Amino acid sequence: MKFKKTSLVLGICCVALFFTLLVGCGGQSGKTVKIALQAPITGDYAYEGQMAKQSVEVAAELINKAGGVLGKQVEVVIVDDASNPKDSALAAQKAVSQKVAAVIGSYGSSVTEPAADIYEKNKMVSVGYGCTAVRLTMDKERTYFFRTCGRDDAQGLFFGKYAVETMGAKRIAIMHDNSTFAKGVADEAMKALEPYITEGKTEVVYFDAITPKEKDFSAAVTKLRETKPDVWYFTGYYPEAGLLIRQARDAGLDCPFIGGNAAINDDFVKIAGLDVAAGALMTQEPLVTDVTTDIASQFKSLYQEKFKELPSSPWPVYAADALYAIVGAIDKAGKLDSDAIAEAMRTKMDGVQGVTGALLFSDRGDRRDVPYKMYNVDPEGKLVVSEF
Amino acid sequence: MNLSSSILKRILHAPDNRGGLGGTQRRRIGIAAAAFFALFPLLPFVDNYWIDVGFYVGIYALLGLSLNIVLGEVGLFDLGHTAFYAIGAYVTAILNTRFHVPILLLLPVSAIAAGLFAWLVTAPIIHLKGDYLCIVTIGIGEIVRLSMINNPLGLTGGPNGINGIDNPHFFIPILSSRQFYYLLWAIIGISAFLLTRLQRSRVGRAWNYIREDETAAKALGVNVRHYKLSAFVLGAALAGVAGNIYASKQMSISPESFTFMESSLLFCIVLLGGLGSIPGSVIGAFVVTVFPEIFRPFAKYRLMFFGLALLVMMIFKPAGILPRLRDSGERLRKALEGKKTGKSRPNAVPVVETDRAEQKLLLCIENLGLSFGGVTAVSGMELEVDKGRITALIGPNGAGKTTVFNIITGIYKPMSGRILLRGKDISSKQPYQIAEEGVARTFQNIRIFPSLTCLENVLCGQHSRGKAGFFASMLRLPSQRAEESRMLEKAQACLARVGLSDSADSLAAALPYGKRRYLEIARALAAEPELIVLDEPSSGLNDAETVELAALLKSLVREGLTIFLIEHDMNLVDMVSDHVVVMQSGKKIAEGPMCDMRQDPKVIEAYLGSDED
Repeated sequence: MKFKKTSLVLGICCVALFFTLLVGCGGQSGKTVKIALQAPITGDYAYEGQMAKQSVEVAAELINKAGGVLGKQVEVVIVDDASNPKDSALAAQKAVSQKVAAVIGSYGSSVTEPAADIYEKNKMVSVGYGCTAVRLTMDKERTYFFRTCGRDDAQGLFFGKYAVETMGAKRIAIMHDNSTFAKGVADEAMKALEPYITEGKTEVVYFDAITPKEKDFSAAVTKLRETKPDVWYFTGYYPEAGLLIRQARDAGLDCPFIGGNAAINDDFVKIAGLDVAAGALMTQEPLVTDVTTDIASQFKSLYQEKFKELPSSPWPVYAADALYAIVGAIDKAGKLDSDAIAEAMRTKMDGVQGVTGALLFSDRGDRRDVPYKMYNVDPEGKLVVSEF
Repeated sequence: MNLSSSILKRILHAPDNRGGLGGTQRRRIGIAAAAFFALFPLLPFVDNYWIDVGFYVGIYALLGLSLNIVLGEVGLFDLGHTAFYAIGAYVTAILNTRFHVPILLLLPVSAIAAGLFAWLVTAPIIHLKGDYLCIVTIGIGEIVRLSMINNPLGLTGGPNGINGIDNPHFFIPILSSRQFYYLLWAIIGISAFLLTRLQRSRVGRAWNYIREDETAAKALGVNVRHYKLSAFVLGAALAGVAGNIYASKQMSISPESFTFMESSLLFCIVLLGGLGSIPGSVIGAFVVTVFPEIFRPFAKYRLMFFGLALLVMMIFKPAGILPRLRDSGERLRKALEGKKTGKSRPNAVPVVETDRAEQKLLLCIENLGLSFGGVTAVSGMELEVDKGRITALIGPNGAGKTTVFNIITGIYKPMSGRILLRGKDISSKQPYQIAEEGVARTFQNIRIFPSLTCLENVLCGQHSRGKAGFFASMLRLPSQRAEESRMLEKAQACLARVGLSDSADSLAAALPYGKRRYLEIARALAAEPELIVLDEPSSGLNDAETVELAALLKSLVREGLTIFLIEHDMNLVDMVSDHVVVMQSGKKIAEGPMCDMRQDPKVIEAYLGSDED
């Protein structure tokens, strides 16, 4: 009966492991302020999750060196959501069970959704760092949910300001593809331009959608050329963006092309051809390399020292900012009460700074004045920050 | 090579497939487990996190049970089962968020929607075998997921999914982790109870017959298409229920929850727990949910540990952790009698009363023809089988004898000619309908159901003589009980008839070769046939056994049965046959009593070749 014994031993091991882990989960102890990071430590976006973990650890170390919060040290607790909605609900429940003060998380929007519901139910502040879907804050009234990353459409706002104030464009063309994302960005850009239009500083000469998956955009390009735009913003995705810019340049339209953050990547360059792609601009969340605040330089040097590299995507840095925001709010609230923290996040954040700049939140929980940067495709096809 | 069928064989024939524990011991563990699941959320150190883990164990247990119907009971490799789960979840989410239909009202709606969807998508493909079916189910799973992403008619919310789903309301609103936990496990309890009843019924056995040997099941009166489809529909409906509860617990759903990985996890649950085993599915769900949670501190290596754990289990227990235990005859009877401890009614087995006097001719084959591609197997075949006699069909190898048998039993459809049973044309009927008409058969290369008990094997014959369906079996209606006990009695009588009463509760696979023949004959007898068709019954038997067989066949005929057999053993033909038909190259070349055949020059030529040249 060898098999029986083996399974018995296996079973006992499991049960033992199970209980050790149960015992391992304690509550909020007196000496530290526990803040959970919910991130995809395993699963499809494990790379993002690991960088988020490292970023938050670096931020926590910087905060603790500067004295922590309310006289206590910050302790980061990691809960893994494996970027999957089911695991996310479990991870959220785990964070709640560990009685942390607040939660950073999470990365994907549809993964954040169920977790945010659980935090809301348990009256716990959570700050998303990679979840950009508009509906997270706009579909539901949430008291305890915030995010440090911009909403999908926030770059539209940035584009509007940039086009008028930096580029001085008088005739603006906006093109989208009717997808929720692209239309959201285009609408937001339009909204940002309205005050300038009433002031007479600029006008929108073209606002229309193309049909995605098509190959021939000559009709749209001809119509666009006739409006003689100074700048042309396309908020859709890279396959169409590549074809559009190629066909527009061939048709003799040579105004600056600005893409949304889904429009430009290596494939865009391949589709359009380097000759045409070079010089194309893109509205995007800045990489930490291109951020120049004080905290950013401290953050970069400690991160570099600990991990010998810098985060290769913009999102992990927002996780660090979420920690700065939470710590700042706790500091302003003066206590660890969730309602007080949420209240402070909305109203008392003056002077709270994170890696990417000031951390201010709207009533709905979205970050105000999310920093974006204009990137452009350099002659080698690489993306660099655009110096205007 | 058909991968799925070889996997199935490997698992079902694994040495430990009967399970290490005895029935009573297992029942005790079952009660302990039920008590654990009932009390778990009340334990002092269990917080909401662990209750939620318990909840997801439940979701996977329910999904495991639902896939177990398709994969475990019927042996259909379904790698797209998440599609039905997704349909249930999305139906709930859409109807709830748009029309504010209460969640618990949507529970049956989701089940019906998922079942209906399963029927629609599997009806056209259900005839596919093994791997082909498996590949199509993967396709179904992916198509459903991609449809959700593509947001048809703006219903599914695209990649973001749907949020804002209500909580269920069962007298009180169900909100807390604990309430959800109990709601779900109550549903699992009810499902497991009903499924156990189904397992012990005509329906559950029919599923198992198909898994064990589709051809044999078909020839003995199981409507294979119907039972395969019904397994898919029932499995999908149960998955739809799981989808409903999942959606209301999560309050939001998105296509990311319904990936191919999820389908393979369900597959894992069923294989890990044991094919066709209800407690196995629950244990499997426990393992695949709790293990990854335990290994979470290992971060990157978590899934590696999990995979390793699965691997170790499959090596040490290839048939699963808790393989399905087959019920003994006594157990089946007890289950039927339930609380009324009355002894079994000595319901005398009615001997099939055939209208012996009326007509002599039972089976008549007219001008039968069939060719495969360019090869003519049978052409212009004429044959008559008289009632109450033993007719033998002989002929050299390749003469087309087995083809004739396969046409009679409906496995092949003839290209020309007719087959008349009692003057009625049966040539266009399905095998199971022909079995219902009173034709039962055995096979040249024995086709028993190896991992079922002998009694269950023989009960297969009785399948076509019963009519209890799903609801009757789940609710155990009086008519179903009466039918079951009649079936059991008949099956036991048939086993006794061939002298296998002692082996009734042992697995068919454990029988020695010679006995398997008898089991096959008993199974055919249990179909209460008028005509029994035996394909080389004596092959593999020694001389003494052949004599024994001859005696059995003769006594069967005396009881009013008609026998039609193919035989190579001329001794047996000599001993038993009243009439002999000789075939060569798809045609009848001679017929008459055996002694005449030995003299017939055409027969001698067919067997020995002509001496000209």
